[in-house]
Amino acid sequence: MIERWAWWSVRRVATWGCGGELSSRTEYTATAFSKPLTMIFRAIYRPTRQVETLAQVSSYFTQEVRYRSEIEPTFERYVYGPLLRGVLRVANGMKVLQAGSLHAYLAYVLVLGVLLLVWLGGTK
Amino acid sequence: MTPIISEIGRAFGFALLQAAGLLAVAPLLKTTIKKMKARLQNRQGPPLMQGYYDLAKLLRKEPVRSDVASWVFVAGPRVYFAAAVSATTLVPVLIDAAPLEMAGGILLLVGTLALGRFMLATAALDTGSAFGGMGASRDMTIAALAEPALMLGLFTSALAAGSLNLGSLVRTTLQGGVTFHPSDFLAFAGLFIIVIAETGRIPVDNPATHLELTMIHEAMILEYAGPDLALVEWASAVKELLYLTLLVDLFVPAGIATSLAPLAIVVALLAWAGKVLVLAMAVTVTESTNAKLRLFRVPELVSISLGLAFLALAIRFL
Repeated sequence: MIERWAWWSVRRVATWGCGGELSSRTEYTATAFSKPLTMIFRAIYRPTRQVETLAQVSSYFTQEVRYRSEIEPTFERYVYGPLLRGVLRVANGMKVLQAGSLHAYLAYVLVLGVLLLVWLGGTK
Repeated sequence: MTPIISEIGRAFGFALLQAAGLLAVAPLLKTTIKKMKARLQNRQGPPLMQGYYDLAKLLRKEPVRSDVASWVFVAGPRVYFAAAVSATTLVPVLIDAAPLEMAGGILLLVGTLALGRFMLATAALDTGSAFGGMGASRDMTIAALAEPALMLGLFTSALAAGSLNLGSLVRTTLQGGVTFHPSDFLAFAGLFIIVIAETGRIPVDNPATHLELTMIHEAMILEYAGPDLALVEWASAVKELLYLTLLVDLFVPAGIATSLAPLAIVVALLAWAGKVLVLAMAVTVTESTNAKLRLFRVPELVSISLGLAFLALAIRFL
């Protein structure tokens, strides 16, 4: 009976952290998670990393560490950006076609809808 | 109405039987590879039943979970196990048909295995341990690289047989006989590398390592204990057996039973066991004669496989 209970019961313990304290600051981040892929495809992502240690007395007594890591937004810059700009440019050019009254356009849609209904409904 | 129901019933019965059979044999394969590896190093190695003893021991143990872990951590091994078991029903083993082949073919197989792996990687992140995150990150990286190569290799065989369904793929290959088409050799070499990568063997991952920083798969499951760990280990063994069976099916299906005659089944069983054993030997020799690659050298290995599979596909088209 006791053994059966032991099988079902779950012991809850703290996550093993090599003797250190685990907190949200020691968790794996999205950047760390995707780092291997960033490294493998570094020709595309061009990751850069900058580590700055600030010390006053000696370099052994670090006061502050500044870490900065960046990847090149390749797809945004070379694919989506030009595409978006192209579409916007074309749309801008097409604006001259539609510079009139919005009410008139809505009326056109309504009239066209009714005409289509009459025409297509009539053939049946 | 009734014939359809009995058909479905038969398919599910067959599926259960095949899944149970592969589950029963999988630990033996794992131990056999361990044993062969030990013999190559002039060691005695574990007894052949060690895989079963280990599973029995783990299943008897008390489950220990992290106090910050959520349901994802509990679901991880279970979904991984379920995915591996359901994947067994899509692959022909002894008979030239997969139990649930009407459910899907290659794409479903790869997708099912990917689902299990995704859940395990998500669960590894759940405990907040950096090792779990590291393992998950590495495992996903290798998966992201290996999966396209795996798909390409499988497509080469599918193109030759004209079907994505593994059952009809095996039947067509069986009818065509052994052709020694050059694309078969290239695709086999490509897929063999992928099988090594997917099953976490040296040179990609070391299944026997005790160093957290060199682990990939082991780091991902580091926080599991007891029955949870048993499920993961068992599912990994089934996956390995499944991948070897897949290689056998795609390239040397000869010997597989085309009817349900008892003699044909016995022959198929012996042929399958023999072919899987030969492949297991190849895995062992690869593992014993290579050093583990650095993580950032793995993409080179996988790209070789990708290149081979691509060449095979191109030759198939010519």
